Amino acid sequence: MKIPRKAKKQPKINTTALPDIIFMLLFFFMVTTTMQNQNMQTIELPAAFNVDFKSKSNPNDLEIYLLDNSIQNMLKVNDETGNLGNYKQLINHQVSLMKQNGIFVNRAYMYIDENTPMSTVNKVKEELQELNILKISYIHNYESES
Amino acid sequence: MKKRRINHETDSGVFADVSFLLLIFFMVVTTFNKAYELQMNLPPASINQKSGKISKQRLLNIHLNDKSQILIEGIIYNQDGPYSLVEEIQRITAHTKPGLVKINMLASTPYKGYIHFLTRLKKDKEIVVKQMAKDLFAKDFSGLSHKQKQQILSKVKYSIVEKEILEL
Repeated sequence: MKIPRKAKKQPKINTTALPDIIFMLLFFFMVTTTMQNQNMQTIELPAAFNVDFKSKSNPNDLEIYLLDNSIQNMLKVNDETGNLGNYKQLINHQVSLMKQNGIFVNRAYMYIDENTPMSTVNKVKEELQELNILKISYIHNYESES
Repeated sequence: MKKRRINHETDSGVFADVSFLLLIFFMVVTTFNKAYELQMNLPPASINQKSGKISKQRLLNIHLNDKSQILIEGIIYNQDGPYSLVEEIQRITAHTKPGLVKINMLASTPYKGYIHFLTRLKKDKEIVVKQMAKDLFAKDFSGLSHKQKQQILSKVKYSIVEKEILEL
């Protein structure tokens, strides 16, 4: 006579106590942990702008991004990026490109890093004056308390 | 007899809950940087800079240094701190001729200080304009007609002159 074998059932592990153990370990490490004090150099990143105030970038606008601090100096005019030392060439090149496409610059939008010295800003402004781009807009994110 | 296979698949139903929880948390706590626009009209480069005399009553002299300080009529303020230009704007615009705001700055003055000052000037001009609307027409500025608005704006008028100086 063949004796039928009992189907082997794998015993289930009771996991009820698992969260208790995890929480106990978590609390232990939370209480005993001390953070290592490290002297780190803080790097101030330039502010990123939310440019939603303009629903669509106008093709007649010239966009200038200016970054001049101890870490790097950079100028971006429309889509062309370069060194600040070449600001005249960069601005002139983009304005002439726009002119070639039959676009005359209406307004220059300037996005400037807060630590940029005013001498740099003034140089760019003078160049815009030379090119007869007299309407400028500073885009910033300061709201003075009133 | 066949062995019953036990399904060892992880229940991924909770992942959606956790993901939604995180998503909602970040959606609630996220704030976007607001951008403000400050418009300016530059003078044509061909115009020669005239150095004429101007009455002290129409002139507001401002000095910006590279230490986040501002000098207004002999008093030093912190650029981030509270200060008001309302009285000064009222003083320089209380004449038939438009006033003049002269911004003296060093080459090393950071852009932050300059834009802080311009923002303050713009805000305080709005206060003066609103005050004038109440004094003249006993109405809010927004409730005035176009002609009345132009009348007030022509009274609160000033130009800005910028000058880079070697030292303060």
